[in-house]
Amino acid sequence: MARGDPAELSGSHRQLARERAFRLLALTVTALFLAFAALGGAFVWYDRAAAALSHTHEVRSGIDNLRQALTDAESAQRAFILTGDSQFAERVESSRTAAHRQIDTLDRLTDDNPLQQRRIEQLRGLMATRLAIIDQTMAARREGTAGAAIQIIARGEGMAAMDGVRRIAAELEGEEARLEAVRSKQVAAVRAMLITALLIFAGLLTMLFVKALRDISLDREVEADTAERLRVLLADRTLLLDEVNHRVKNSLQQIASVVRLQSRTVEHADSREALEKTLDRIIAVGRVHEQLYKAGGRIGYFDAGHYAEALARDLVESLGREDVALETEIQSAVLDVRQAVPLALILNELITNALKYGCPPDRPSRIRVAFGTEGEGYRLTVSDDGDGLPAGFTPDTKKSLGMRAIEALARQLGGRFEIGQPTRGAAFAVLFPRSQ
Amino acid sequence: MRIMVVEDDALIALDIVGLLEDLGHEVVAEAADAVTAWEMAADGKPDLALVDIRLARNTDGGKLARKLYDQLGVRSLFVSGSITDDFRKAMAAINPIGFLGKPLTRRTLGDALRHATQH
Repeated sequence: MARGDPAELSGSHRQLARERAFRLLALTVTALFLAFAALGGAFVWYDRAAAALSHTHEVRSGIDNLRQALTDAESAQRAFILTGDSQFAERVESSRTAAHRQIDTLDRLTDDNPLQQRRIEQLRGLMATRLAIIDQTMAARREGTAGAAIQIIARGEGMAAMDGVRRIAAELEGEEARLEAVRSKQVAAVRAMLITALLIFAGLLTMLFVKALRDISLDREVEADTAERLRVLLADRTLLLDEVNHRVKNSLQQIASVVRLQSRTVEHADSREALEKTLDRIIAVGRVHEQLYKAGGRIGYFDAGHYAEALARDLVESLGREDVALETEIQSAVLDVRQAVPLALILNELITNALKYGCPPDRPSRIRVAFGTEGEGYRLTVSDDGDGLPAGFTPDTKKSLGMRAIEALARQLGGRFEIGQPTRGAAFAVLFPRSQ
Repeated sequence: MRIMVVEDDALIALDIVGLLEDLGHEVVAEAADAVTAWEMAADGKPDLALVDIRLARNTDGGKLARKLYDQLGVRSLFVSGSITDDFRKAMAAINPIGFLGKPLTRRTLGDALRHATQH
């Protein structure tokens, strides 16, 4: 066949489809894993960039607060010098505490930036100088009048220190402003990347989904194709079997016809009988075939019980003697097809023999056919109530084809042929095991 | 009975004719294909036809039997190597005498014909 064996072809098709599906699955899982890891990484990056940005905000507000605290301290100092009121001294103290707290916070916030750290050290020195001068002026005011204090102020050291503070604070702020600009740019970039990654992720998923759908429909096509091929194959097979079956039966009919035609032309009784026997054997085989390949029935199903019953009835009735009674004790048993023909031929020989030798023409006779399971195997018995066998009879003493055939066929079945010794008539049995 | 035998295998036909004559019937026509069989039946109507399903020149015994029954009222006895349930159902309408499988025996043929004469 040019198209090859359909079953094998569709098998390799399905194998290919399965491999494709597996590759797709592996790709999907890998792509999803990578995309997910990229998304996670981008998100962590974004979080850190955002944290850095808010850190810069904290530093800038810290610088503002420090400046404010020192300015507050200066205002309170001036008020104290003018009024000598101690509540202003307290206000100086609280501003001093605030300023210390602020510079400590700034120190901590910028500990990753050496440049800013150096500036903070300078700032701390200038702050200390400014606060020390405020202390001096306030001490001078407590001991005397505002004049002494104003003299200290007039020296300008405090002003210079405060200018230094403002200058350094401005430098700190400038640096933080620069960092803030850089960091907000970074945050914007990371955000854009995150959105891009999300879009790619979604796109990838859509693509894979579409591809999987297409593969599933392809697989369905392959399956439908396979089913169709199998249907065709089965129909072909049924047709072929019917054809062979028909031909076998026709051939058997041809053989039977030729033998029957020949038997009609021969004059000699023995020759005619031999041909009739042959015809019976052919028909026995034909019956097996009929039962095995009954059109529309279960192929290869051979019920030995059913066969034995029908054949026995047929043979006895075709004898045309009203005074020969048939008695059957038959169990239904489905046998292996290979056992069918040998068993059929044995049955044919035994029943034909019983009719010929076990039914004397001068009196009514009875033939008994029994078939059933015995132990692990089967037992077939055919007996009659005729005159019985000659003394010392064995299958070998009488070189009839029938007896030798039964022995040979029993061997073929893996069993044995037994000649019984009933008180009246003859009894034959074939015991054979179930087919392995 | 006056019987027509329609069988494409010459030796089987000869055998069937012999069996029918043994059984005391008269074979009035023999044909190997449906066309010849129909012409013969139209010339001289038989009492019944013994019909093989697959005939010579690719003709169909089933169709022949239908025509014989519908136009001449001749019933058929089918003889074939393969008789399907579908065929039996399809032929039920033309009241066939029976369906005999091959190989044919004197007894099965005799029973079928006895059945036909009784009805």
